[in-house]
Amino acid sequence: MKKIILLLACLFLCGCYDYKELNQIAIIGGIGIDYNEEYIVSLEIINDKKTSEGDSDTIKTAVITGRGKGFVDAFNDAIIKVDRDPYFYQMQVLLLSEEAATKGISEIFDYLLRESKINNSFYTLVTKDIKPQDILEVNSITEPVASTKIIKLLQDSSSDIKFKKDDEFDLLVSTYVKDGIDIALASLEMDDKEIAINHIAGFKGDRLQGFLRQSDSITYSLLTNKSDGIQLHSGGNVVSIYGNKLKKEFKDGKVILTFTADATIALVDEQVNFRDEEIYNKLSEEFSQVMEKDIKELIKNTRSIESDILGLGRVIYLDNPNVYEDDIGLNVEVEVKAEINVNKNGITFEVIR
Amino acid sequence: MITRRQYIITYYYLIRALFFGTATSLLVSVTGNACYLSAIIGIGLGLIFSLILYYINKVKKEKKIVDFLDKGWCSLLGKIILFLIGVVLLNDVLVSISTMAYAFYLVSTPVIYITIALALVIFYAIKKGVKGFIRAIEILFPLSIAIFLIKSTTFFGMVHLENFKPWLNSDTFSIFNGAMIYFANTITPGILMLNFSNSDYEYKDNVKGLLLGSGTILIILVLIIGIYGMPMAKMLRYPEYMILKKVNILNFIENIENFLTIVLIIDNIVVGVLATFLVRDVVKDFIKSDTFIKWWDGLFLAIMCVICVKVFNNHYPNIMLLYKYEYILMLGLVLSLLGLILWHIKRLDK
Repeated sequence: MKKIILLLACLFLCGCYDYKELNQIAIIGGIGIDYNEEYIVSLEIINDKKTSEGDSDTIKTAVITGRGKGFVDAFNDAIIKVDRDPYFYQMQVLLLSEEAATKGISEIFDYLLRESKINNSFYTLVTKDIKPQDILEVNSITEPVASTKIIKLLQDSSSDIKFKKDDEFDLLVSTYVKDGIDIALASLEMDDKEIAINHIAGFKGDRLQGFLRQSDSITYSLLTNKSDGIQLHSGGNVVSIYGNKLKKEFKDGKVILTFTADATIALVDEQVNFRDEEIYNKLSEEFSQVMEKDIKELIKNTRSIESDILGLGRVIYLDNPNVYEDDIGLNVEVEVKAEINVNKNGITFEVIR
Repeated sequence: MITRRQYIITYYYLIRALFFGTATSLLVSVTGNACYLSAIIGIGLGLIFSLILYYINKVKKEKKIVDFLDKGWCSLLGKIILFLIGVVLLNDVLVSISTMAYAFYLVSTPVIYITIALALVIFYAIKKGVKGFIRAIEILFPLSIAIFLIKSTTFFGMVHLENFKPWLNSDTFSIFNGAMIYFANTITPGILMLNFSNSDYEYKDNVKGLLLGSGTILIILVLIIGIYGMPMAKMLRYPEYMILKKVNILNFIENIENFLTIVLIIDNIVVGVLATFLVRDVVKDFIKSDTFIKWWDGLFLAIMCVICVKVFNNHYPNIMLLYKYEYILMLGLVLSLLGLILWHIKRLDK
């Protein structure tokens, strides 16, 4: 009996039925989705190959494209062109073209979330003025794999527009399905032959509404606490923001946004002495006003594209779901308060002039 | 018999097991943001159940529950119910683990292979005997707690308070229904504790096991809702597995969800093994042939594998029936069994 059990265990418990060698799989780093009367799906395939004898391993990528009436048709068309088993567990980015995002993302989100072969820890971005397949084909000087380059831009670079773990695909969908808030995605564009993230794309429901201006995108990043060290300018004065918090509440029929943050002095355009505590109060007041103005500008511009990416409607929904109705966030009165506490001066007390 | 520590640990495992793959997602989808309230009511009912369990164990002393139900038609009925509970629990374990493994890990492997692998693990554990098995799960207990602590601590940073709002916005029936789901899924495996009795055990041992097991489930519920929010949590089939993908320890230990899932599978295997023991006890009581009993476990597990694959895994609507209504069946079986046992005790007193 023991021998039979041992034999059966060897057969069934080794878990080798699904086993595939590395050279049998095609590692997908990113998916690009474009729309031009039909869906165009591009798969970025990462291969680890030796280019010639004696060379060190070089990572090569290839982009395979499929077309179809629906997203799933195009996706399957791309998959059947891959000569190995597509492996989506290492997928890092999903790129949507402006056209695909404007057409609607619900079908795409639904399919990708349900598909168990796809890991949900990737980031979703919109491409601006360039097709996703072209972005996936970019070989940067510092990073040969486009999807890895994008991830580094989103997470590690000193870019003002960053995305955190909170923006991974499943958590993005969790925001998408909530009442009273629209999703915002970072947008990719080509800037001097390099991939850059300069704007935020605002959605209404499942459709792209437009791109925010760069200054609004930075304000949005500040409000949603996606990035530390964003610099705020006022004339010639510059401070770096950290420890930012946004409190949202619904009171007396209006949404009150209270933004608080600490700041470090980066640059001052006059001869001042930082031993004088008054300078901190003066700068705090000045930057609080700048921030307040920036937030108001952001709200005005998000409303102009009819996108409630700040979740003003959700504030009302959470306070009283019975009062909530669609688009209430786009019309509700908003009061903005900003308090920037400039409390660090770096390692010098005086300004060199 | 097993030690008090082992008794508490076994109860802890049993309380948690059925929440994986079934009860958690059902509870979240039925009760919405009021799932904590349902869970707390369920825990309260579980404490009453534990008291009854303690009372029955005190009365029957060292006897196994099958040996205790020795005379009369209610004993016969009780044994049949015990058999059914064993079958339902083992089936639940096989279906939930095989479905989950098929969905996430072994997408090309035929489900029968996954089920046979599970059956082999259960068969091996049975061959080692109850004491050996309980000792093994006692050794694995610190691992279970450690993994729970890892999950909880890494996830708390990802919890958003606004995801809990609007507070308790479910109707009374949903909250009651949720409490029943919680109660049924904790007490049904809890019935397996009737096979472990010792005069040393006290009511507080039951309470410790129940609160430890239920507490971890409650915290997992809080984390699921806090991370995903209610609309998304309701959509997911395995929310407790999906959040494991988010584990990130000190920014460098990631993608360890497969390792962490082992604990959930161990919980289920504990139920599977103890349910198979229970079924064997009942069958042994009816059929006194030693040769038959020798082959029974293998035969029973083989039949259960076929049922799991043919009736459930190949027919998703059947899995959905199990998902939606199994708790009612379990609740009916357990409450009938408790009624019969208490009636039997009353008869013995007379």
